[in-house]
Amino acid sequence: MPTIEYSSISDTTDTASFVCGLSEIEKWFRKSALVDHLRQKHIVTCATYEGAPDDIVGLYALSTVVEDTAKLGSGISYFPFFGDSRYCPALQIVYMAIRRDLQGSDQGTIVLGEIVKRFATIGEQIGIPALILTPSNPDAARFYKERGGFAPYKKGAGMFLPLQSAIATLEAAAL
Amino acid sequence: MALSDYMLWKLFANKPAGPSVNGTMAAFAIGERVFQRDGVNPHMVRAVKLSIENDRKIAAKRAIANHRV
Repeated sequence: MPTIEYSSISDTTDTASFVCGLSEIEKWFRKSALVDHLRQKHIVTCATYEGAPDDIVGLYALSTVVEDTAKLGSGISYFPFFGDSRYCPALQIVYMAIRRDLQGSDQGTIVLGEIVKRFATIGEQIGIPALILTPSNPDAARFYKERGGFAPYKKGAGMFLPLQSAIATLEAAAL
Repeated sequence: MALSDYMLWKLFANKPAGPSVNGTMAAFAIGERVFQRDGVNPHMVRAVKLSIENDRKIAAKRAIANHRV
């Protein structure tokens, strides 16, 4: 498998030629990704094969958000004394896409592995309990569940990966 | 001008949604429960392993390139 290099989006990134089959992501990548990255709305990272920096094979955009803990699961007691107690910080996969001709070839799992590795490292350092996302369609939901081990929200269409799972995955992979 | 009791209540009670210690602890507790139930996904372990290998290859190549003066 060729070596993949990850780099932040910049004004020299060729966003026009990336095709993933999802018009929403393609449109955002061409028009807004760089602006979102520069304004630190999302951190946009592009994956390229080594030696071909203009040929983007995949991308992902991460953002830190605040999520309603009650959506993740139930049966946990809250102590509503100090303001609104239901919210937690989370790292969100806002966008993730793989070049169309490489879809189904394990590249998506590898890019997701990179995100999980980053989340395990950052989350442990600053205490982010969950990596969250909203799948764009049922196929994407199946991919994140089967390949990524994401659990569905109790309420809503979102999915999440607990920090404990990400750390255990990283530890198992490092053995 | 003194603030009415209602205004004071609004000022202190209606804060924008922000993370709290309670909410974060609850999220960790839910995460622990999910992790105990689902365990580690083998596909993801393999993907992270490939990602670590990938990092090592890049680091090794950069080290060699930096060594060549």
